[in-house]
Amino acid sequence: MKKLMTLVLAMMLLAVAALSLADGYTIVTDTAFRPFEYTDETGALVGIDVDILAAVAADQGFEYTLTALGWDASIAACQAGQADGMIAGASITDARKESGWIFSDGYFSATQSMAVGADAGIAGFDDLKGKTVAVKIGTQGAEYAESLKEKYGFDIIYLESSPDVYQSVISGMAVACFEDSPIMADYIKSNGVPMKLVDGTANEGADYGFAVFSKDKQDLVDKFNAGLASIRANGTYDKILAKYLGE
Amino acid sequence: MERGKYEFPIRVSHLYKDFGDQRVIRDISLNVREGEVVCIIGPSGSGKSTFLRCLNRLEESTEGKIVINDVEVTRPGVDINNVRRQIGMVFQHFNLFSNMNVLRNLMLAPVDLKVASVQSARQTALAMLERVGLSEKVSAFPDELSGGQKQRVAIARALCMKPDIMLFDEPTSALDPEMVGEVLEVMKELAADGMTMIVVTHEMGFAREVADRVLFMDGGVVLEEGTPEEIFSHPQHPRLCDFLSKVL
Amino acid sequence: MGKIITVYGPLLLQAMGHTLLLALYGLFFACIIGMIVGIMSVLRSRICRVIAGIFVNLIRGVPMIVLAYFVYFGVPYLFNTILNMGGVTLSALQAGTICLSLNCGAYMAEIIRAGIESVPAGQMEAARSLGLPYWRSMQRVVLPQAIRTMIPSIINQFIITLKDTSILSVIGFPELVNTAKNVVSKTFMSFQTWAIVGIMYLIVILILQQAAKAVERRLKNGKRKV
Repeated sequence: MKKLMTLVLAMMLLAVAALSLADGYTIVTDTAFRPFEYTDETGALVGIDVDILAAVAADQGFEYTLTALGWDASIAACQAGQADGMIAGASITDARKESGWIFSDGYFSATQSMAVGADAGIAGFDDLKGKTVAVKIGTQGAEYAESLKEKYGFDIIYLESSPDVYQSVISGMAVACFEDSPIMADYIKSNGVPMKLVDGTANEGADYGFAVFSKDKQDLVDKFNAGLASIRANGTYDKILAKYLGE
Repeated sequence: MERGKYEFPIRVSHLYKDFGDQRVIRDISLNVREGEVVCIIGPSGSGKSTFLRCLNRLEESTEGKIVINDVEVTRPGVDINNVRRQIGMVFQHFNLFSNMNVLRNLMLAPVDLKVASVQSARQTALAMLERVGLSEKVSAFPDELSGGQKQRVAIARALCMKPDIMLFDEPTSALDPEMVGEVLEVMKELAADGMTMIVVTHEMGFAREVADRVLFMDGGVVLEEGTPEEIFSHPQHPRLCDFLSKVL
Repeated sequence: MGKIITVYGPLLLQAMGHTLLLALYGLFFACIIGMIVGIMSVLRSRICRVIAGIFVNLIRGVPMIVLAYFVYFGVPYLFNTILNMGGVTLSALQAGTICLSLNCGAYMAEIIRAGIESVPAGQMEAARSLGLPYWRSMQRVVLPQAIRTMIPSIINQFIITLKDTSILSVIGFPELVNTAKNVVSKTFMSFQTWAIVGIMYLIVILILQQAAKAVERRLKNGKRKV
């Protein structure tokens, strides 16, 4: 028993040491938000956000670890101070800025729109009356849906990840979902699922930004901005976009 | 069932019972006359209780024929519930229904099986309680009774179904010595009234006094059989002699 | 803290209402499933016992979150996409109820089985020896005694089931945890929100535990149930 206790204690100390020795910043991201962050066939975390962060860090000369926690878990981690910042296709909005989000310059522009099951027979918002719509917790898609809910008379269910949201629509639990347009477009194309984006349902959209939640992380945001400007100038940014979006 | 209708209410021929590989009852045959009291004695593990429980099929025999009131109970497809209503059984550990009081214990079967109306069942129950000397315990719950009282209630319960045959499986073995007598008294009265009884017991005094016939079982076989006089005063088989020397 | 209570208080209370409703539905069906499977596991028929055993081990061997995903996403996918039967949908409430009923039902079945087996075999023997058929004996003698021993465990299971509703947040059912996540995503007040939610669960469960104790006391004193 004593030996076991010593072993457990040693392991715990090692873990703590490893954490504190972890150099650089702790950045978090979503789990499945293709093409911005997702895991490829080999299980590696890849995507536009992943590559941009890597390029910026290389340019600015800082170290970091990137972990995919999931969307609302990432927000919670940054808020609690367990992570330094997040890069996860987060839209820059005034509402968020007022709530304490501190954003970098925008690095991508995206709208949110509505996608429906191919056979759901939904041509526009009016067809949503009395039906159920799926969204992801805490996203602009959710905000957008909430803003339309009263007017068009539909119910909203909140799921934790983008794939769960799409699955709900494919399986018929929900007739439609609201999410970032490029993500949905990518998902539909790469998986050949019976879903389609509905024209004319896009909102104004916003830029994506790297986000931190505390003023003492401002230096990280400044570094990101500097790095971003750099990679835009030297063509790295375009290459990254082409890699994931060009085809 | 009217008493006296069957000359031999219990007829067992060539009964065998196995538990897995173990043969616990070996070729037992027995005919019990109407009104006869048969006591079965023997060491533990001799198969006495198992034999008794085969008669109302609480245990399933492996081979052999059992006929109760001219109904072959070992035949497949027989209505065993009906046969059991003609046999009353008293257990070593009483088995009174703990979720109901004494009166309900007695009335449950007759009313539920519709062999009597509620009023008539109640009358019978009260009469039986009187007979075993426990009229005042009519509303008591089993856990309020002493062992001897429980067993007497159990006998009354069995009698409420007006059986032709009563089987007793070591009825006093779980009782404190001072309560054994009250139960044996009830059993003696039953015997005197002409009930057909088979009693598995260690109470040699009772067997000697009340039995018409005594069977000595050991190792699943009836080693000796006879009147109480023969068995107790002139035992023949060496194992019986050995057994008696230990218990008497 | 105040903001959460004033602005989102009603929403959270409504979510707690959904939680309780789901738990009640789940428990109701679980009792039925538990009774059937529990009795099957004590019957003489070997087939019944085997089927009951498979059901219980299957459900208890899978974390409820897996069951939730399976029922909510997997089953409709099977019907609509693989088998192409189309039109099979389950609302989150339906899927949640199925999930909870199965999960809680399996544990109930074990409670019921244990309850029945705790009744001494002699009770059934005495009833049968009087000529009462098997089911009558169960109904009049064995089950009433079994139920008395089972009640504390059943109430305990309800409390566990109530907490397990939180797992169903992953299928979007608007119970307390799912709603809390939403509130946090809008207010960013993690600590306050989760503290309040924790307290809400605590209050409800404490009330249930007190009720459980009262029921137990009632059973001990007025144990004359026929």
